[in-house]
Amino acid sequence: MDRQQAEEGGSGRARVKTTLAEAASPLSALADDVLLQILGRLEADPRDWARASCASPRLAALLRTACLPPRLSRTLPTELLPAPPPDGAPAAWAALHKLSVCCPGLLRAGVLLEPTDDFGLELDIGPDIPICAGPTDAASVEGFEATATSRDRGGDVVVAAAGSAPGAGESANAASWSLYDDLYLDAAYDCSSEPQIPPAAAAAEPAPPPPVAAIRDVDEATTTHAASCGVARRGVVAGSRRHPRRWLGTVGAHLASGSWTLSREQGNKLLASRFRGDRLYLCDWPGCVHAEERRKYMVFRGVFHNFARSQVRRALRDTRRPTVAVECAFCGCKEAWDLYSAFCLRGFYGYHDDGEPVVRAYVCENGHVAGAWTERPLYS
Amino acid sequence: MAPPATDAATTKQEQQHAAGGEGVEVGGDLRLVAECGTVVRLSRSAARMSTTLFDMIEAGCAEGGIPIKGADVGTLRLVAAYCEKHAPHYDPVASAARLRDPFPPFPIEFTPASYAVKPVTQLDPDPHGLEAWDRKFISDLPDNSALFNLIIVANLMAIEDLVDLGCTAVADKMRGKTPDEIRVALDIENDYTPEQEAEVRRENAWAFED
Repeated sequence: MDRQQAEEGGSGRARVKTTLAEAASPLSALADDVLLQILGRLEADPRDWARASCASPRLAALLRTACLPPRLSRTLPTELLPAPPPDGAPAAWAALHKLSVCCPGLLRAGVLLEPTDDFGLELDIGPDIPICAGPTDAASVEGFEATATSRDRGGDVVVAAAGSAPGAGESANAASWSLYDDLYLDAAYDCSSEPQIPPAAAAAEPAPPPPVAAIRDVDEATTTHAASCGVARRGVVAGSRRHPRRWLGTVGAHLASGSWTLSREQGNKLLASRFRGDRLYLCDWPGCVHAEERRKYMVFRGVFHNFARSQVRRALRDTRRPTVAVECAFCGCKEAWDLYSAFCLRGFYGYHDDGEPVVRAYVCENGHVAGAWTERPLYS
Repeated sequence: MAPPATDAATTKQEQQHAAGGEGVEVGGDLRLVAECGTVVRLSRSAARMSTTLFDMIEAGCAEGGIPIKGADVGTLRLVAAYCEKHAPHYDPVASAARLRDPFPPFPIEFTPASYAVKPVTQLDPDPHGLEAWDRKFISDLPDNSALFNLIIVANLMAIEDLVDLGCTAVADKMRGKTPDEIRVALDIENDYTPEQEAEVRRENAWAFED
């Protein structure tokens, strides 16, 4: 034994050189099948696979070609699957995998959108005309805007306010708060999730409601300075949204709770009966449940099989429905159709008190469906 | 066959050569020759854990030095230590019965705590202290390249239990970590161009929610 160790001591120095050369990227020394064994142990949590594919292009390629296809073949119905790896594009498998495990979140399921039509009520939100006339109108409006923007430092709303108001305006009106500011912030907050303002505000994935702290300030200020200026409001607000919505959970896409399979029966339950021939595969009920302040949202996701030739697509094209700017969470589409207002969904589910539909679903150009159920109101 | 000069002559060895046979019934030591020529001893019972060596013993070509191509001495010694430790409790049937498929048929409902390879259930989870020994064995490895070499050599010698152990250890290093942490833990260079990196991050942003 001693002799062996002495020999190894001598030859060990020779080995050090080669190990140092390997230490540059030791993972490259591992063969692909060993890496597959390792990655197979991470299958339980799809986020691990996603993060591993971000870490190294070799892992990403390996995952796409050799890990996702067997997993999807096991969990999804066969007709949804694209061609096997040598032929089919790996991107198709990746998109399908993302569809099965990634919940689009409230943002991409269109929950944050305000109802596009205001039911005939005049939602006329405009600047208040101050009775106690200070400086000129323009200046006062700017002052109010400056006040509004000086109130929230959350960043996103400032972006959405189109930068017209100077960001650092600590004007002398900081003390006087009016209901206009409340409404402005209300509208501005909703504007930040309105489809017309695309960039960072809508696309920021982990997005806690941005100016929550600022809005709390607004609420306090509103109660204290409610009638201080004696302003006359021109607009009528339809009872809702004195206080902007606050979202308790995450708004962006995240790992879905619930099962990770897609089934056609769920799709059949959602579509109107005249679309019986279409094959829509949705995730199992209840999807990913988001418990928000007012009600729970059961966010579901799914895909049409062969959407381009489906009846739904033809109906949408024939009636020339306009698209809504809801980004698809699964492909890169920037627009989607609203299936509920196009009468593609089964039954009439109606709306809640505050104008929110009971169910909504959006389908993108490639047939990816994202939507949300809410609980039906008990009394209507 | 004259014993090579590097061997320390043991009585067992002399017996084997005195018998002059292939040595199946008499338990001699196998001699594994590393890349640099150094010999590592392995008892026959321990060598049964390696399917390759086992087949060689059965076929009778396990005499002389067995060159293990691509293995350095340190790794071979580690492998030998593992085999010696596990040999008395090695059950080839149970080992083969464990799921080797890297993607076994899971139930549809995933629980995050399930592992790819389910351990053999025993009444006492660790009757011989093997799991604790394994954990210490893995944590004693100096760095990633030692671990990877171990896996490579174990794969070469077809010691499935050791391959499982090594792969599980690497997977545990990757689990629950952000990509940057994974790169640090496994010494991976960042081969992405900035645009590719941005793209792949955007695509997988849902995994970073928490």
